[in-house]
Amino acid sequence: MREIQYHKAINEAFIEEMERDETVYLMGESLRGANYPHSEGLAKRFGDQRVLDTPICEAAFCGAAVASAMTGYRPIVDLMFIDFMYTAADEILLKAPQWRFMHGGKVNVPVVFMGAAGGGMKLANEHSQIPSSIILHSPGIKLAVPSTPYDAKGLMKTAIRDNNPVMYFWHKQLMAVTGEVPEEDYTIPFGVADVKREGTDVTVVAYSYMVQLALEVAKKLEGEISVEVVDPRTLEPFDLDAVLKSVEKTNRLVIVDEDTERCSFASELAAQVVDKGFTLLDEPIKRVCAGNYPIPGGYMEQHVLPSVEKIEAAIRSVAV
Amino acid sequence: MNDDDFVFPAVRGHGLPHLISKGVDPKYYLAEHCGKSTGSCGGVSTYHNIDTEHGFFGLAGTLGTGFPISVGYGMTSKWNGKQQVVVSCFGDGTSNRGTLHESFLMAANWKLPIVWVCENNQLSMYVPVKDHHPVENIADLAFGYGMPGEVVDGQDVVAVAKAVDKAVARARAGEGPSLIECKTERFVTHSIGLPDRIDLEDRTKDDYVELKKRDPVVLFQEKLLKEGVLTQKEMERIDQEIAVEIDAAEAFADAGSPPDPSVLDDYLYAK
Amino acid sequence: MALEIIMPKLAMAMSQGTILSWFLSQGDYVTKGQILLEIETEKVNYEVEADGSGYLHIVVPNGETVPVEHVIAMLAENEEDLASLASQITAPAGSSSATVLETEEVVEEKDSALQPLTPPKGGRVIASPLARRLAQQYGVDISSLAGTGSRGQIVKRDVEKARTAKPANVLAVAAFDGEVVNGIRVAQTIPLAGIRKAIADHMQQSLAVSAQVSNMGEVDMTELIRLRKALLKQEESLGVRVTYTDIMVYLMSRALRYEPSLNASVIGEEIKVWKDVNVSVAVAVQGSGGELNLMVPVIRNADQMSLVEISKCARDLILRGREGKLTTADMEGGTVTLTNVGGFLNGPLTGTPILNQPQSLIVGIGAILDQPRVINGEIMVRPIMDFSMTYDHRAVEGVPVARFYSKVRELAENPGLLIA
Repeated sequence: MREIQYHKAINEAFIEEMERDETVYLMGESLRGANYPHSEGLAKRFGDQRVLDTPICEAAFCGAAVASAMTGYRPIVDLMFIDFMYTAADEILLKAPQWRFMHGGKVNVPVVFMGAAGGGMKLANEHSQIPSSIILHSPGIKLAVPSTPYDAKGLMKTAIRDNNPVMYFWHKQLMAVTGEVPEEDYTIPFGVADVKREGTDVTVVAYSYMVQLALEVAKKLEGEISVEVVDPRTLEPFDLDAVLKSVEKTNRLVIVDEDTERCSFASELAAQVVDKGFTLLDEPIKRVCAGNYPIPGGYMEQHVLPSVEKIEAAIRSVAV
Repeated sequence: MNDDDFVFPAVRGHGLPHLISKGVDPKYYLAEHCGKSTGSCGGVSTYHNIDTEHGFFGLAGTLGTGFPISVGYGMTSKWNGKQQVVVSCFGDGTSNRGTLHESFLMAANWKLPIVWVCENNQLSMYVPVKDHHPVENIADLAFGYGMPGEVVDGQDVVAVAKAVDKAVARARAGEGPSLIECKTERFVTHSIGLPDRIDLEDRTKDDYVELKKRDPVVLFQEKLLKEGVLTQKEMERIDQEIAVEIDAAEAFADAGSPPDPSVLDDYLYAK
Repeated sequence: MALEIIMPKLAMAMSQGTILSWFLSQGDYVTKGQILLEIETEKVNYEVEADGSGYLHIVVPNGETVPVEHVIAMLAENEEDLASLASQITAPAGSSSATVLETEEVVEEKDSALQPLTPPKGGRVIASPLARRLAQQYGVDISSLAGTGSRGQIVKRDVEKARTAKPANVLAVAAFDGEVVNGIRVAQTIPLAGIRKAIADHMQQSLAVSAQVSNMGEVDMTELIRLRKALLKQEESLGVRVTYTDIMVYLMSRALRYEPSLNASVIGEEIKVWKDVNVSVAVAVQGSGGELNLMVPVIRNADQMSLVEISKCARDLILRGREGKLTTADMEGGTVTLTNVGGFLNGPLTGTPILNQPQSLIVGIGAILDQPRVINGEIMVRPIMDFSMTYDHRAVEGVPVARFYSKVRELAENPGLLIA
């Protein structure tokens, strides 16, 4: 199968879905100029009406996307860095997720918000977050977190077709990663985890770029500790059954989450596994997350973010 | 305005005058207000009323978030070929929000068919407009965005209607947004049970008596009588009809049952 | 200012003491010299006097064990000070028992994180949720298992291992109502505490710090039996019933005159060869709970005493031991030890006694039994006593030990030499 890069996979998803459905359009800052390569060539192909460069006014264009979605369109809002979502917190966290519910299910809000998430590039706090817990704490919005080009394309296509708001985190560190992506049309259902590597000793649940780190560690420990890497691919909806199934086999769970540890997805999953799979566990559940600090820039970043060393240590601590 | 034109009602008043004036049956409003499953939002929100057929797609609790929403309605209106327009209402206090500027900018930039209507009742809760806005007219904000800004007497129903008609026509013609500021007064206290306090002085009962003399409904009734459009008898008949309609709405709201908890899941996500 | 009352250090080897009973209550006025409380040390019970006067504030209550020199109570000058002491949660001066216990807890916690925990007797079983479920499913008594998880918790593999053990055994164990530890049914649980704990620690310590070598031998008791019979006939006039133990103490102390290097101790980087020959005599004493406790009172300068003197001294020590009245002084200062288990035997048995630190020699004797022995080319029946020795090879060489053994045998077979 052909191999393409992660950003190209997203670009293909845009093209295919915009071809397929004329209500789909892209909105954000400097998209026509392709600030990120995933919007490369779109304006030429679909015109300015479907690739909208907005002023730098996140609240206005995110709110506009919500209303646009309610009234017949399928906007994809590119926030550039996902950290910028905080400037449109009301629109992304209160309006988009809650308006269907609050209005008795009488309107749908099929909007996709997307942005570059995650650290590793020493860009400091406001360009390095992966704020999954904030999204998960807002009922009514789904969250896709692709870790490979294949998932990036399949999940984006599903996100665009979904009748609900979807937050889509793409990871800066994954942008140039290549992987197999079929040429024919496909989608990836939300809420279906993918076992990225099979193993028998320890289950590692990781998402987005952390999947790649987990796979690196799993490979290193080959022959010593057999690590199973489970990638949920979407955190909402979440495939808890897949995690329980894996833990049933390994009886050990390490959760790798690049988001800040406190009240994180990792904490939530740990609680759910204890609740639903308590008697599957032989060892305490370990979380490897960003420390409870702002994400520093420069040299200091490594001390806060998860790393292969921290993941390995966590795996070893339960693989006794 | 047409039935399918979009309206974002101002937060306060929970949109009631806007909904009714656009033809929404008040019984759904009242049933919603009572938390009944027969309400406009199935009794989930109690005051975020909705009527998509009449152009109401949502009501917000956070001030100033109607601006971006209205921009979205404007984009749809501009794109879908249905010649719709948007009327977006807000108060003098809400005009403080940054979202106003972001949304005015986007709407003006893309020439969206939006009529921004500011109901300036002179009080942002208890803060007089002079203490939160540096110039006399909020309408003056329009000029920075290259759109018309007009001040009208908010107590004069006809003057307001004329100004809005003009702005709606302009929007429908594809010429972009306008801002109308209706200068009005607050006839009731912001919070029931608390006096309105202006410059540390409580408003007195006498103040309200004086204010009510300028009630636009009263003024409009006087005008209709004076100009012979309606007789006193015809107006009494209208009042009776209103009373009957309200009685019916109350009976409808009473008859409804509270929503079943199962709707929590049904309403959260679309299939 | 308040006067501190500390856990006294009654002996060199005393590391901690237990509060048996306070004779006074919180807030009572105490005068100097008044007996405040009774403590239990590793070897004795001891009454502690007040060395000042004041209002009593008890810091360490009955039943608790604290290290020596830690504050167990305060004597307040006046009632105001007493009230302020009583209101403090931890005792002052940073040397309070509360502080110490806290430190110990921290250490323990640290250890438990690193080392596997042994299943606590009758207490909480530490097992993973999975292990618990499987144990229930398989009918394995989880409290009988040892954990091998990261925190010493019982994990799946521990249960699986128990499950694949002999089914009959597992079933018997599983059906057992009482306590099961490591798959073994428990009949009785005795706290390893107080004197028993002291003995245990002492024995283990002894093996850990010295180079112990054991030799087994025997002594022909024909002559000594004859001697003892004669002495028993004179019991009334001697005023004491002489035992074989007494005779052996006498014999050992005399034999040591020939091999003084065995009467020695390694202390620090030096070997002290003692002038005094003080023989510790191991005595099993029935405790208050019916248990047998080991006491080792000392017969000082046994080499200077007559047999009767030794015998009388031994009687006195044993009697006081039974009554729990032995003092620390009674048990300190031994230079060699004799332990006699002969009274409990009905057949030959030799052993390897553990040195009574810091001594370098211990002699163990067994039962006197008729045995065939070749004497002057003829097989004869002789009363033979097992005789074993453990010595500290750091301080003592094998040759003098061999000579000492030979000397004991020579003297035993020819008691007349003792008066020569």
